[in-house]
Amino acid sequence: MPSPTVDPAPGARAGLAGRLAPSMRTLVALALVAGLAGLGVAGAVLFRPFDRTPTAVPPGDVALVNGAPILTNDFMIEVEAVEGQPFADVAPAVRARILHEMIDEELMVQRALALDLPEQDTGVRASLVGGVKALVTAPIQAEPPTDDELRAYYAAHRGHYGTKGSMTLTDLVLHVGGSGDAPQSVSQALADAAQAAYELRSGAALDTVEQHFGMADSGKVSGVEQDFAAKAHLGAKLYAVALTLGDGQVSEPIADADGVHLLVMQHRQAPIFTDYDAVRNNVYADYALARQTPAERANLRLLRRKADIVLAPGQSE
Amino acid sequence: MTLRATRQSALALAAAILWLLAPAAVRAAAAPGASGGETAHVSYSRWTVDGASVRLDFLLPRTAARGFVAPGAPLPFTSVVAAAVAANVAVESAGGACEAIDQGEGAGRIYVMAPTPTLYRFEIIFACPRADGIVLHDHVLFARFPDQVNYAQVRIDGGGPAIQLFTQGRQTLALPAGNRPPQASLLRFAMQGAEGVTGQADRLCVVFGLLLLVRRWRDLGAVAIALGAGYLASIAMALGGLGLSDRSWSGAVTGLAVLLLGAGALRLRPPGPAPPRGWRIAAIVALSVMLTAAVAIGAVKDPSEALAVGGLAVFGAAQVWVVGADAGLRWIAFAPAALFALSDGALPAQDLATLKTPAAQAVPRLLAYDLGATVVAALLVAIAVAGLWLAARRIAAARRALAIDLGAASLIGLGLFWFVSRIY
Repeated sequence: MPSPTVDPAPGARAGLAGRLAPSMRTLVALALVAGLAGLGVAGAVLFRPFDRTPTAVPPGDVALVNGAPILTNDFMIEVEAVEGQPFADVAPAVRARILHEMIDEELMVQRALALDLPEQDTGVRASLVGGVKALVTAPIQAEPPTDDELRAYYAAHRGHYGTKGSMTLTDLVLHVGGSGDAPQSVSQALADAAQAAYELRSGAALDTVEQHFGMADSGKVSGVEQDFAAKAHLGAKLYAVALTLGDGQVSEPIADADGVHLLVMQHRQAPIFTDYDAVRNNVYADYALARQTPAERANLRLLRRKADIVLAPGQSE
Repeated sequence: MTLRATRQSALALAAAILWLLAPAAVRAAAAPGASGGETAHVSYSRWTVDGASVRLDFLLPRTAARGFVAPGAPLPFTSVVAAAVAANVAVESAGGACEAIDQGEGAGRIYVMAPTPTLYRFEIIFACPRADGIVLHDHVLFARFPDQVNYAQVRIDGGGPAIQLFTQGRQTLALPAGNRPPQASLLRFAMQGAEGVTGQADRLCVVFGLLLLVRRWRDLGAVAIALGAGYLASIAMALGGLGLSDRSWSGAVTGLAVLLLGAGALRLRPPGPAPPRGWRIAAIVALSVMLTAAVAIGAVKDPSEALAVGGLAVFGAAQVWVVGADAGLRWIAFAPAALFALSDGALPAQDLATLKTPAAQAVPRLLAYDLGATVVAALLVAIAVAGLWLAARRIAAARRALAIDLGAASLIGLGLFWFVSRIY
């Protein structure tokens, strides 16, 4: 059963409010405390010790060089790398020598920065660029590729591993169409070219066949041509046929845009592909490079997005 | 002499002094640092004379290196700064000019020392034909920054250090025979303090703000006490090894002092035709802008600096409220003057500390600087008060209130602008 409530008398309410309401003196005191606290906070931030030259080496550092720390961890790694044994096993004198060398190195680095070498020396700049690339690609390099991935890469880029192929051939062409002294149709040209091929295979001389059938050297190839060059010069259609020919062989007539061709292969040196196991290290390096390049490009895109680059009038990149 | 004649004489004297100060005020308002938030330019040098050899360590703030390139251009390379410094310092002796020697080991004639986060450090060794009649020359950046002061420390043949000031008007220093180089006089530091008050627009606004607060002659004592307390506090902090973390904060605190003095003047506005509600609006706007600045600075710069801005905002709000709370603490209206003096006095203290000046030499010079600043500020207020007192008798109360309102509002606007623009 709820207990009955009794409203306090108006006079009592005013007394309660009066007791709870802070006096002006209290408010002023609170404001003064708040102001002094604010001033104290600001002062603690704005005022710092003049001489910030550290007199003691902080934990985790093994030395300070002009205020720059040499980390204990770096020191231990360096000692173990140089001596090839656990840090605890290295004699104090050896440790001291290595620390001396690390301090020397730090001094040299600071000197380089003091002289603005990163802005002025191309070697230093190249090292810095290499360092940034190494940072960017470190996550990729931390995940070594599987053998299957390497084999797949090898299969896709087999041409990179082995000797390059070459060919010495003559490309005879029998022009068709309305121009020239002997205009003829494609079918006529194909028939003549087939006859010419027959003559050549029978041992007829190249010059004789050229004169007899009115064929001409296209001039697209001459001498020994590397495969890639032959492909570029002949075009994909003729190059595909050339790859099927061996020494002394004559192709079937090939109709192309400029006429009917006959390919006469004098000598063919086919490419020799090296076995995967023999070039695995090269494949590994190429594969790693192929994975790093996109990461480096992505990093450069990020840097450019964040950078403020202004070109002088008339300049472009 | 009758009272009327005395009043007219005082008025004439005040007018004459104000006229004399007017050109300085205009020059200060037009100075590059007046609105841009820069404190006066400084550099440092240590000259160590050892027989016919003079070693110079020149310390140049990194921001000052902009003086070697066109306005708006990027900071020059260290080698450019080094060459510019080398070209603008020299030593002479009775036997002729001293040559800067190649220090070997690839260092060249000017050795670029490992820089600190804020200072370039260069070392040059001059070999003189003779050991007597040595004259030191320092012309670095005075053409670009006429307000620059080079705090110099000079030692001769292992003797004690002496503090000297190179300024635009004094770019050479002749050394006497013996190992006791001359000390910069206390008067020079006092003049420097005085020029600090009259030479920059924001500091003149501090004086103007104090003028708006002074309602009776004994308030002048409060002005002097506030300034003196602030300057003494700066010396105490310097002796405790504390200095401003960033010189630009001095300018920002000066802006805050201007703002608070303006707000205090509105709060203490004498009764006039209109109810004095202006201070509330001004205080709310100023506090809002300061808190916004605190949040912004925390987001883009440094959270600890945002904390400082927030602390100053709380201090300012509390101070302005207490001033008008009719609690018998009217003198708190002058607290911003102490804040200004603390930040202003911290600058020379920091400059002398940079040269590791012994306390026995630093304290008298800092006291001289502080005394010069305090006396000039109090004197300016006193003269202006005297003039206004004489003139105000003929001005209606309503117009006096309007003048105070306008002046205080201007100070709030200017102070807010200086404070916010200088914390970035």
